[in-house]
Amino acid sequence: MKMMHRRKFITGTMITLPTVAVHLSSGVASAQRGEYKNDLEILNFALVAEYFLSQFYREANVGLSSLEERLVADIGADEDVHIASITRTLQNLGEAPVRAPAINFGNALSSRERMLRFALKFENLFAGAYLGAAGSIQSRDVLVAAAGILGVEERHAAVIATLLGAPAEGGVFEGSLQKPATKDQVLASLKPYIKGAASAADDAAVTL
Amino acid sequence: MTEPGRRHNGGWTGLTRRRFIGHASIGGALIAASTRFGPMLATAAPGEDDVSILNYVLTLERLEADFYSRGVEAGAVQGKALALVEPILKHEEDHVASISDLIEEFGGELEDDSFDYPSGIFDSEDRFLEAALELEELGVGAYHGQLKKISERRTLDTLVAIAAIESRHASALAALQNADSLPAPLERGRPRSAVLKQAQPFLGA
Repeated sequence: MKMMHRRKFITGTMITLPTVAVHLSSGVASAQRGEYKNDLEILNFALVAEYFLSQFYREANVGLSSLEERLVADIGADEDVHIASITRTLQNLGEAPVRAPAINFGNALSSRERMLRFALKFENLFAGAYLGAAGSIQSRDVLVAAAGILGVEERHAAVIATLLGAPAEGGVFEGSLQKPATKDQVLASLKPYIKGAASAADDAAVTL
Repeated sequence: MTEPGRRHNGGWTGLTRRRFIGHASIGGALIAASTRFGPMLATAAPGEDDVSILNYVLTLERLEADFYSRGVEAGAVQGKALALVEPILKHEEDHVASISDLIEEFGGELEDDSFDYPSGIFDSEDRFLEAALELEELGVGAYHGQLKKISERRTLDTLVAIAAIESRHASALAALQNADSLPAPLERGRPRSAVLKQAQPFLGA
């Protein structure tokens, strides 16, 4: 698998969401599912997930091939764009973005295979989390932005599963519809790696 | 597995640990924002526009399902490619069913579609896979281009969940054929007119 060069972009132009503050009133008929208080909590929760992935890929010096290294760098750069996008959206909404938590990935980075399996697990989980949260998002612009990020996490999962030589269904794919993940599922999965995962999320809530 | 250069040098953007402004003005701003959150969208004719959007994406899903089904039947793909295409075909059939169900629940009419294909497209695995990738990327752009226009929450939930899988298909197919599996850091929408124009070679007159 090789990769053609990707469309050039200038970080910070295409990812800003300047219209969010203006168009909050163009909301979506809301289904209050109770998991998240509001869009700001969802955005800060997503930010923690993006910090987690970004740091993971940055630390992934596990004997990858040069192709794999480059793909991982591109995937990590995508996560950084997501961080910037979410951060800017929060700022446009007058909300402080949470800071990156302290993370220890333990032995997840002890081999190529472990690293890729861990990455696949969390790309799938966070894709599910975006979908799970999407139903609670009230601002149309936030929803569109979240869907744009969700699609890219799906791409990451497909690429990583391919590197792992995973089977098509049950590996590269997980069915015909993405399954939503709950906030609690995400918190439980982050807990072993983030000191006080719940409190990191609480921090996000406290700032509200 | 060789690989030409990518869009940038692979360096991190340096945006991750930016220091942010403090909390001083948050309270007031948030209250202002909260009062503007989430008014229900009045829908004088519930689902009417959604039905039009759903029929549009249904056309694309039916096209994909038909395309993969013919390709598998014609033996256009073998081995590893076939193993990837078979579940994709199943997914597209599921998407057709989900979207059709939603249209009917909204009391809408399922529109008819007919398809046409560039000649010889089922005779070559390379050409077939190239077209498959094009159709998947087209689908991604189509879904993301409609998200701002949808009225009903149920339509949004369904289409976001389907769009996610189209992204996954696109990257899986790209990885298989040495194309760009990570074209951009965010999915972007395309207008219906541009999507249908590009799809024209596959759509019957």
